[in-house]
Amino acid sequence: MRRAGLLADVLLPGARAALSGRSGGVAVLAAWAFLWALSALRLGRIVATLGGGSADQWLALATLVACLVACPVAALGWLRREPRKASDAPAGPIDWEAFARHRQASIGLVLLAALILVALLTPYLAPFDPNAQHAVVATRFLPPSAAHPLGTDRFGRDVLSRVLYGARISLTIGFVAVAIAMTVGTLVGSGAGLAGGAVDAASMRGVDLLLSFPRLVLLITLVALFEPHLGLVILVLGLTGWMGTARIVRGQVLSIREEDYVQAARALGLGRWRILVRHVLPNALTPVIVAATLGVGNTILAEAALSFLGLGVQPPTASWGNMVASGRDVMLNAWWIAAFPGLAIVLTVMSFNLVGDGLRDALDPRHARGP
Amino acid sequence: MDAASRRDMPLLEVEELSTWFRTRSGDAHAVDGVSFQLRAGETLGLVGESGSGKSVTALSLLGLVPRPAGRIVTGSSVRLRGEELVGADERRLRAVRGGEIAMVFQEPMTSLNPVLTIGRQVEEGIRIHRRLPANEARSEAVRMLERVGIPEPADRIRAYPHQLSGGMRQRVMIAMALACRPSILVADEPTTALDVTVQAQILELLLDLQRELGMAILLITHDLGVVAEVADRVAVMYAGRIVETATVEDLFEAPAHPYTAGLMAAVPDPDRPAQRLTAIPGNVPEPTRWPDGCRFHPRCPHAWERCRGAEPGLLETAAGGRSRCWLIEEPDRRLPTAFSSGTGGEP
Amino acid sequence: MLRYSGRRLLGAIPLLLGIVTLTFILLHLAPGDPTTAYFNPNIPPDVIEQMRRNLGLDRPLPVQYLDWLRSFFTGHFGYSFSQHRPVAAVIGDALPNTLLLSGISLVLIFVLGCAAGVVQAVRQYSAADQVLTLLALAIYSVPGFWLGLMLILLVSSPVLSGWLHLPISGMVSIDHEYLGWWGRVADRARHLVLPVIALGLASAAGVARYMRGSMLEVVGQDYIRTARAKGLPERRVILGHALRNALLPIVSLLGLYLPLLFGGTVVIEYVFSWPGMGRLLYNAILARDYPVVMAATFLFGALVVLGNLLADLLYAAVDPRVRYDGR
Repeated sequence: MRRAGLLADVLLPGARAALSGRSGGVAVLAAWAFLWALSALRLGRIVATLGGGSADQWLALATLVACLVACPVAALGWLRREPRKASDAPAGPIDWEAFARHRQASIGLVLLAALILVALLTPYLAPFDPNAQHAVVATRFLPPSAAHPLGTDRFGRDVLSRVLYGARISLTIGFVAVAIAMTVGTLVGSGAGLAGGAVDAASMRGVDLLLSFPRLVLLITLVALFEPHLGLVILVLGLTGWMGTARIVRGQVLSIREEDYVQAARALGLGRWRILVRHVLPNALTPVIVAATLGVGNTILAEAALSFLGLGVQPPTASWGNMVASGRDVMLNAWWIAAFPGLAIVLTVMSFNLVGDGLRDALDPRHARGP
Repeated sequence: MDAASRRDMPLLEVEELSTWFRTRSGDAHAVDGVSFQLRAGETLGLVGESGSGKSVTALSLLGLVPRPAGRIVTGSSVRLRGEELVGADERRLRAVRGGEIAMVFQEPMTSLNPVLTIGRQVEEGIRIHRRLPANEARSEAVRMLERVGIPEPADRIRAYPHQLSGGMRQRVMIAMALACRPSILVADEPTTALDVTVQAQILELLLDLQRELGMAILLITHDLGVVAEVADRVAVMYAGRIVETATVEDLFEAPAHPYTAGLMAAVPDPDRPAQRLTAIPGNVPEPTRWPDGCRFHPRCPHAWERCRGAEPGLLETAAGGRSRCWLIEEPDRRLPTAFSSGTGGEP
Repeated sequence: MLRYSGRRLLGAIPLLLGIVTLTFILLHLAPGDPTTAYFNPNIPPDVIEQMRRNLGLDRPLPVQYLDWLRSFFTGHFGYSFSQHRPVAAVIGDALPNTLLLSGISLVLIFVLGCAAGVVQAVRQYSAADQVLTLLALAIYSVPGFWLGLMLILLVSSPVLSGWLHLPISGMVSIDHEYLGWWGRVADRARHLVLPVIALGLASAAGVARYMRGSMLEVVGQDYIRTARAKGLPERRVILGHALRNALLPIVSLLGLYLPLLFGGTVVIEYVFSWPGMGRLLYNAILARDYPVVMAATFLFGALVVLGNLLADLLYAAVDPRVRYDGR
């Protein structure tokens, strides 16, 4: 019996869990099916990659293989565990069980995982090269059809492929910019919190000052004064988004500083830097993670606006924002060019918000329980 | 019903009141079959530790149990002058709340709305229940504030709660409660959050007002001293049920139920300052899992097999009160421990 | 109350000064200057030099900074290169339009957001609550410019354009002057509908989420229990007692939404050709019209600071604990 179960979990991971009602099982099974279907349909491209493909394509292949392996591993490990009872106390500052039970957060997480997966697998998923113009005059402004599920744009380029490649751009920009923002914010915030006094006051005045400008105003002013190019866009997005984190970290540092275990460390003669890194930061980091998650969503929105205005990612590179811009003039005749990239933005930002909300509720000891 | 019987009819009759709460670990039987009566002009003290269900009982009388988690179980009955309140029309309940049965809560700090003036809050009830126009309601409010001992009431009417002290706020709460001339005042730990000196004043005020208005008071408290001062009769609650009722004199002289005796033994005796305090062993059980048989038996020094097996009813004592204890039927089983002797009486 | 306002006012001044300075620094960080826009190999370099001297760009930075500061007192912000008019006049034309758009949007944001939040809290866990929660999250994730475009699409679609006549650009119609008084008001109102929705809807969803949380917290408070125990009708309890308390944190939230609101005007005015400060700033940046860019950037920052100040004063006005404490 056990061997049969083992076999089932390797050949059809998630099936058994799904049959016993666990939604995690359904997710794993669906991913398994999807990955195999993709591999079958794109066998040609996979072979081509093996024969010498770009870094992009190797990344896609690696992702494919890794995910295929992960499915049975999940079925054999994670899906076999008993879910923790509702009434037991959570282990650690983040109540993962509460997070998992939070229906909206799990949906967000699944969406997010799917999104990242799609972004990584794009070289295999996209039906066409995003910049391929085909026979321009004949193939431009084609409405959604079987061949081009999301239609084509003014140059005959496949909108679906461009949307998929746009996902990579947006996600990359989002993650890197937020990483910059979190780093700067944590440094400034902890510096201010630890230093106290005039340094603290001055830093916070500075933060207030920067927060008084609408982010988009700062963005367009900064970007337009220099030449818009990808690195600059990411940099300014990061530099305009750290202020919230700085405030959070400072607040945390100030309160944790007075906690007993920090006093104990100080009494033992540990230096300030060491106290910061080993004791204060790990605890302060949890609200920062929530802010970071929500921050990626906001950054994607900001980048989209910037690209829409022509000051962000430049064509022909496909960014959702500049795709919407290119679709604006022909919107009444070819609505799909502007509509679908925008929809992609909504879905992406929504998944980050769902996850961020879920994390926030999981961190809050008073999280309101739903039906 | 003729005039004579109507006079004898109790003002408030509570019969088999049960209020349960849905929790993750099952139903919590916070109040489990509580029955008592309240007559006009009398003060009934409802005594018990936290977790005994006394506050929930009070909220249940007015139908203020937080839903959907809590619900009054069918079979419960709360009758005001013969009129059933459980399951009554919401509009009728609203008329009863404040108008016939008024409530004063424990925390004066948080029980008043911080963004409205105290005048507004007192007037509100008057306008709703007594249907007076604005200016009359205002003068009534001033009069009530004066009656409860707030200095310069005409000025204070425009004050906000955060500008008053705890004792003052409690007085305002009382004014708010009594402004509509209710027949019953339910006071849930009205003095617990106040300083000792202020406590005495508030109790004094309550008694005064009772004499003047002829209303009945249901006083809920864990403080036996307060009960001794103010109550005519006492009902002791434990684990969601009433375990003893008696007049206040009888209760303090000879508590029948071991729990009551334990409560009294736990109070320090000023005449014997060196005496060791005797606490009741064990803890109050979880409302989701009341013990089988007599609910007090795990902590009772006299308990025997009968207690573990079956829960006693409210048996009548010699003095005319009631006690939910098998000792009434088998008094020889009473063990001579310090616990059982209670305060006052035995050396 | 007066002391509180005075203190807040005083605190705003250094912030405004900071904004002035920061704007100046930002603009001068960039390589090149306004003359690069005119750069043309046919123009001899000394003409360009002359232009630079005319615009005062050859003087040392600190002097330019002082000039910039001085302009705030004289009200003379220089000359717009692209529009060939004094900057003050250009801004003067655009500012009221942006204020109108933002103001109406703010009203939408708070009225809609609070109403939705209250409904959700009062009917917690009901179907309405769950739908609204998901809807609010979805709307909150929608980019304003895309919403604007989709609204335009919707209104221009054959289905709706038959009976719903909503303009998709500009502030007034061509024949605006010829309409009667009422006609002109209606005309302006119709032009406001789409931009206001595009600008405010996402933020309204955000406010709805906060309001729901705030109401839920308030409704669990002791004084609400007291209000019910007094026999007040439920409507009075919710609207008269709970709402007033739940609105307090929302008022302080106002300040946080202002930068988003003003930032949004940049894109929305662009999409709907609304002649306001956002569009002005954008065009000025493209044209490298530095005086206008500086003035507009400063103004956006100043509007946020002033808005926050007003929000603080409003908060003090509605929360008696602040009012009578002097804090």
